[in-house]
This record gives sequence, structure tokens and C-alpha cells, in this order.
Amino acid sequence: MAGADKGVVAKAQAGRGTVEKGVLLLPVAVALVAGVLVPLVVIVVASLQDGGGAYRETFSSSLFRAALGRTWWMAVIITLGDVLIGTFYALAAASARRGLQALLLGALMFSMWTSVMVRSFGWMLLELPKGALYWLAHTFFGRSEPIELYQTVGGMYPAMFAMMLPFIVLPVLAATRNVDADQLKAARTFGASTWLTLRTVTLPAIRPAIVSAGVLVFVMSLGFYVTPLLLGGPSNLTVSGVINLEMRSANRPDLGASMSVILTTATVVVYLVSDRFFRVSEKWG
Amino acid sequence: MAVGVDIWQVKVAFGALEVLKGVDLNIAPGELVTLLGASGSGKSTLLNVVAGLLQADSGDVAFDGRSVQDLAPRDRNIGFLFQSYALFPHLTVAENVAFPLRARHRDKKTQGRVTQQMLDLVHLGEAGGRKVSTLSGGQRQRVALARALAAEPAVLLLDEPMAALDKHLREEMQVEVRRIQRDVGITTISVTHDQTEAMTMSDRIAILREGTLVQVGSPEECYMRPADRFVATFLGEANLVPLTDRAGSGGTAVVRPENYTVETNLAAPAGPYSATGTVRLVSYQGARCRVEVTAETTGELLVASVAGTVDRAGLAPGAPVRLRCLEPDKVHVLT
Repeated sequence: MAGADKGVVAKAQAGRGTVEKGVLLLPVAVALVAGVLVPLVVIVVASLQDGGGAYRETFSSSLFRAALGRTWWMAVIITLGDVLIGTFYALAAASARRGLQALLLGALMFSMWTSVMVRSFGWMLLELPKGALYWLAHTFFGRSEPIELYQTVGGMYPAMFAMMLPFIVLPVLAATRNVDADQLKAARTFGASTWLTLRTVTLPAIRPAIVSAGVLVFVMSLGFYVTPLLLGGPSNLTVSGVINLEMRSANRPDLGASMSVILTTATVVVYLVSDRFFRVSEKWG
Repeated sequence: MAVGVDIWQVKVAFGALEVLKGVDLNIAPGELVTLLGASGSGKSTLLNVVAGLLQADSGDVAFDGRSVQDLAPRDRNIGFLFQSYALFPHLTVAENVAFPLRARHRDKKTQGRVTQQMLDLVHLGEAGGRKVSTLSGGQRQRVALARALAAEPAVLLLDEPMAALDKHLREEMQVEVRRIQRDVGITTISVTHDQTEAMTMSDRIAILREGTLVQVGSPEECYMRPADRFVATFLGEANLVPLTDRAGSGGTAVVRPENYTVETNLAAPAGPYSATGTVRLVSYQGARCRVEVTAETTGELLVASVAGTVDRAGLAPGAPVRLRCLEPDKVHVLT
């Protein structure tokens, strides 16, 4: 019956639908071609200029391989850490009283609305050898030697955790609010502890949201540029930092292009694989 | 074993809206009492107060003579059957049924034994390993009932238990739930807006209207001797015949449609509560035939429900008829 209804609707709209749909799709198509397809083709062409030599050189470059490993592990650790912290943050926000909830979400939104650049500089001021952290340690614990965090691999992590946190908390919070109220009531009346309720009702219900948010954060972390560059420094480049180096300072656009293709391919593969296992795209609509 | 439930002067208000205006109700051990009312009557609110999911503004609820007002839901030892069943979708049938036992830290052996007992009780002994999503609506309800009973609760609470079922299954499950409730002998409070369900399942019906109990009694008492016009028309259909011809007495007679028969011979002598009028509509319903008549004197609509085998030849719309009361002594008079 549903099929028959659809047929009727489709017929009724057929007369005007096609033209209007074409017009509405035009801006999107233009944006897609100009903003994604053209740059992608340019990059692929640039990377293949000397018949694949750039790829051979890229893979044998120790700079690139170190950056790739650094980027990969950062994405893995940031994702796992933020999934853990973000889920608890979301659960706390969902169950907190109104005032505390507003504070928790306000802090999150405020940091999200602030430019990534500004926040990265903020972290820099914290992490500088004689920065805010040093000042705190010096004032309260009498520390006299400078803090060695700025422009190390470790220096990237706290900032990256903070940058990516909202992308876990917001979708997980939305899912937490949608957990079936009757199931929670049932768990309560049957005598379940908070922990048992969390394990048997809440977590299974919000698991799809956690997974899709985790994939989103992982993919974003792979390509993140400003924060790792500023806080990791020139000797701890991630892939996007190396690409920037090859493209601009080293005057090797072919290498930069091949690295870009590799990073993009890796990202797409990660997405497709996780979609195959967790059906992430269904959550994103 | 079974405990009595005493509800004393329970009042609940949401802001300025008084949802329960001081309800008193005493439920005997092992009894099934249905709270019947329209939406907004406060029946679900009262159930939630008994469950402890909602705190009453004043009044008291006692199980077995002991107040439970300060106890959390988990400490009240109740079994709750939700309208949506609220089964845990990622657990198997057996894991769902075992949940209250697991929550109360019973050992694994007890969990397994009791779960199987409960599944046998609801005739789902073989379904323990199945996923909830593979069950039909009726089976889900059985699982929810088994889960509600698993931890041997003192009181069983049913919140619109049949609302999600289709008509046939609903009738089957009404009888089935009643059988299980009797077998277990558990004190039960059910909430519904379906008067047939209330009549079929209950020892007593408590009829709520706008936060007040208007009548508490056995289904037959409520149907045959309704406390007021509201109950008379809410519980089944009723012809409210004003008794103006009785000198000074006033009052209203409640004549049930099945207590009227339709006569086309107006020459025959009239009996008590009878009325003449013209046929407005005849609806044939199989077992019964419903005849709507416009009363001659008052112009009001009267309804008779006669056997479906009645000769409908003389009952064309507009035909003059008399409604004769079959058993005048069964007519209840409201004063």
C-alpha cells in the first residue's frame, strides 16, 4: 500500500518536479565541482607529473613516515580519549541540574564558537616554557625550571583533546536525551543500580552516536593543521604540516600533492571501513 | 504472601493544576483493582504515586500496613508493566526476565530457575534465547509480564497494559493476564481508559474523574448501580430517562439499551420506563441490533440494543415504535 501511495505522489509531482529539482541542485553542483572536484583533480594531476616518482619519494621519506605515524597515533589517542571523556561529559550534562547543565554546555559552546587559531594561541600561552602553567607551578609549588611542553608531541595533545571534545559531547548528549524514558523507569522500578542502568539501558542506546562521533573526530584529527603545527612545533610535524612544508617552503608541490592524495585516500578508507562495520552514514542521515 | 495496598488522601498538583484531589482507596491482598478514567482523570498519576515514580504532595501509600511514601521505587518491591513494555532491546528474552533478579543480586542459579518458571507461566518457555525484536506484540507483552513478576513483587502495577495490542489480541490477553494474576495471587493495580478491559479483568473498578474517585465497586455494581450520570454513561451506554411524571420525586432512571425491547404495536399497554417515539437509525451489528429512537415527549435520543435476529421490517427510519423496559426491577434510579 505504501508503494502505491508513493506512485501516486510521484506521478502528481512529475510535471514540475524535474525542472525545479534541476534549478535547486545547480548551486550545489557548482560548489561541488569548483570546491571539491577541481582541486582534487589538480592535486592528483600534480602528484602524477613524473609518473609516480613523487609517490616513491614520499614513501621513502623519513620525514613523511614519521609524520604519518605521529598523525595516526594522535588521531587514535585523541579519538579514544575524547570518546571516553566526552561520553562522561555528556552523561553528566544530561543528568545535571539546570544550572550546572547550562555551565557545562555553555563552556563547551563558548569554546566551539571561538576560532581554532585563537584557542591554539591560548594553549600556547599556557604551555610556553615560562607560560601560565609555569607561573602556576612556580607560584604554588615553587618550581624554578621552565616547563618543557611547548613544541613537543605531548604539547599537542591537551589542545587537541579540547578542540575535538564538543564533537563527541554534542551528538552523544542528543542521543542521551532520546533514551527511552520508559526503559529508564523500568530499570528504576526493578531495582537496578545506576551502574546497571547505565550498562543495560543508556550505553547500548547511545552506542551508535558514540561510534559515529568517534569516527568524525578521528577523520577530523587526521587532517587537523593549525593546532598540531603551533603546539607540536616544526620538529614534530603531522602530515598536514609536512604537506604545507613541501608545498611552500621546500618548493616540491609534487611531493605535497602526493602526500595530500595519500592522506585523503587514508581518510576515505577509514570512513568507508567504519561505515561498513558501524553504519556511520545512517546516523549522519 | 499477598499484601494489601492502602491509599490515603493522596493529593498531587502540577503547578495550579490539581491532578489528584485527595484519593482514598483500599485494595485487599490478591485483589485486582482497575483505575478507570478518561485521559487527564489522574489515573496514571495515581499509579506513579504507588510506584514511587512520583511523589505525592500529601497523603500516604502503605503496603501491608507500612507506609512506603519515603521509599524509592526500587525499595518498594513492585512489578511494573509499561504500556510500551519497555523491554531492553539488546538483551535476550531470558535476560530481560532475569533483569529484576540481577538488579537484586540473586545468584545465577536462582536467576536461571526463576526465569524459566516465569517464561513457562506466560507460555513462552522455549523463547528464552530469542531477541526481543523477533517477538510479536502479544509475545512482548508476555515477556514484560514475566519480567514484572520475576522478583516476586508485593504489588503488580499495569499501566494501560493492552493499549498497544490489536482488538483480538487484547481480548485474549485480558483473560490471560487475569489468569496469571490469579495463579500468582498478586495484588494488582491496573490503569485503563477501556471500560471493557476494566469490566473483564477486575475484581473491583475505581472510576476516576478529574482527580476524584466517583465510584469504587465490582464491575456489576458499577454497571448496574452507577453512582451518578457520569458513571452511568462512561461505563457502557445508558438511557437517562427523567422521572418527571412521578409526583414530587424527580430523579433519573438509568435504563441500559439491552433492557429495552422495540415494539411496533403501539396499542399494547405500556409498562414502567417505556417510551414512544420514531425510529432514527437501525444498525445491525451481528449478535446485536442497535435501534436509535427519537423520544416523542422529550425529543431526546434513546437507544435500544436488541437481539440481532429481530425482524427489522417494521423498523424503517421514521416508523413509530415503543421502547418497552424488559426488567423494570433492574433499572437503577439516580436521585
